[in-house]
Amino acid sequence: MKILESLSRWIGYVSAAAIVVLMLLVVADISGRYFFNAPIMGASELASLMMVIIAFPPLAWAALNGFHVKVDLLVNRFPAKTQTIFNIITLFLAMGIYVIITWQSILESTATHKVTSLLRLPQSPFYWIMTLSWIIFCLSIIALVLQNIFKVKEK
Amino acid sequence: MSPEIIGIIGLAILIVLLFARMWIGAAMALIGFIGYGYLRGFESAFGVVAQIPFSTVSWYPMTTVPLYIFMGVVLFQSRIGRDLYETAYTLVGELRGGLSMATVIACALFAAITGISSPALVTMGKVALPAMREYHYDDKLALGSIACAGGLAFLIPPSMAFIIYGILTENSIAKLYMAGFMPGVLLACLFMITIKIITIRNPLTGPAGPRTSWREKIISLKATWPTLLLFLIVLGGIYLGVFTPTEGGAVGAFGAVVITAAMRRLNLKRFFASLIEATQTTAFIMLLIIGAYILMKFLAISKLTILMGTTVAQLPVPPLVILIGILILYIILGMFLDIFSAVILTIPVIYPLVQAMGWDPIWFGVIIVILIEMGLVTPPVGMDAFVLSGAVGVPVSRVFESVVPFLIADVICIILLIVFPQIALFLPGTM
Repeated sequence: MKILESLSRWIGYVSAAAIVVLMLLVVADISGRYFFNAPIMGASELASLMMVIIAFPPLAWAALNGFHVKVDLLVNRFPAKTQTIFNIITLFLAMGIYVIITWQSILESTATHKVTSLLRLPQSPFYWIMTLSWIIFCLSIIALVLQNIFKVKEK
Repeated sequence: MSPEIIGIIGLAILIVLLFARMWIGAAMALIGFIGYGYLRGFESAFGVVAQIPFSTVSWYPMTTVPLYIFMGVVLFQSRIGRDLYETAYTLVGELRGGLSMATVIACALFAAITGISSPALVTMGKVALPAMREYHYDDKLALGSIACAGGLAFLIPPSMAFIIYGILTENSIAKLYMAGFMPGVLLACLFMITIKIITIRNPLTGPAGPRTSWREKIISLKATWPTLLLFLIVLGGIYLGVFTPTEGGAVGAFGAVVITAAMRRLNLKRFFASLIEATQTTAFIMLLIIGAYILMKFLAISKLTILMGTTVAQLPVPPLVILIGILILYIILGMFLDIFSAVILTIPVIYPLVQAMGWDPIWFGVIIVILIEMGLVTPPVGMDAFVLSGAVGVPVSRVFESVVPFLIADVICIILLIVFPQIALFLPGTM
């Protein structure tokens, strides 16, 4: 759990840095285009690939920090133990779908030979960034399930 | 079973899962995957979940999400909102109820440079509320004006709500921005009229603040320059076509960093804190959007949404009744979802209906955003009410009580938009 927390945090820092890079890239593209009539070639392609680095890696971090939204309408009125059981069930279902997504993502990453249309950059490294993020995300869901199971046992 | 029935069953299970407090993004992805697999075979469903996450995220318009959030958080961290309140306070504080009106004005100005409501809510909770308490304002008037005016951030551009609506429905974000501007100003005026009426009926609720001279008023305007500058750069650039709304996020974030750093308001610590918050918020929105896209694939092949659209459109009732039905649905949804989840969750189902009814999608987007704002401050679970109550340490039930008169202003704004759609559609028409 501890290892997972610090791992996900450090990966999150990389994504945070990518936001700054993305911002500077787009601003440079606009000023190049508007003031010097020289846009950065393929800036929008690069920006789209940056999004992969920004969006996927911090998923686990957000999960461990309770950032992912859920509907607090019914279950939060139940006793604490019932709530924990609901948490375990729904996390288990979430794990199910994300394990499938991760597995498909691995297959896709191994198979893909796609390149971007303008810069001809290979997409597969970015697919692997996504896949690794999904793997860590799944691990953190498992950690959350275990945490909830311990909670039930304690009581 | 027909595909439409499968679609209905899928949505029913989705609702059960949501009530069981599953992550919304995960629930949408799960139902989308199983439903698609049931209808088309799991071989194709695997293809869907293999493709959608990457293709959805690595899409140029998505870059606005982290950047507009970053912009909002930077402006919050560098305390620009405080200056805005001080200016508004000097301008209208001497009026009866003036401190509350100042809150509305400050929120409207802040909304013109942020796309999310939490910066305004937290800032005003920390600055405007103590000021109003000092002058013995009724707590209900004070809290209500902050909670409701904070939501203006979603209506006055730039706005995260319009970005997400525009992305999901493939409508022009630039047009949505322009469409939100006049209704946002109108709503701010309606909020101020509400405050005026409350304080006329009971002058004790909002006594006048200290008198200020014209000289002081004019000098106070000086503090608004960073806001005006940033607003003109971002919205002016988008309106004139120098850059697209997608690129506007980067310009806004960059502008916010440069301006606040030049003012020596942004140090490294605040800069990093802003980045980290933007990163985590982006992650949760992206998980939602990926889920919504998988769900949309399933609903599209179930043909349920098309069936619903055409059936409802052919109902022997006037379109206004259908519109009111949708409005009520959104008020209920807004009660227990935050604005992003509410828009993302419902667009796959509601948008085909909007198209079938022949309503203007830009106009409908404006109405939806006002509705969701209302839901954000109403019980049982209004996210904005929670944010405010957390920021100022007031029980959330007090916030819920306080917003009632302002909700009437929201409803009047929606009625005006239904009667005079031009309020929203005039500006985008000039582009």
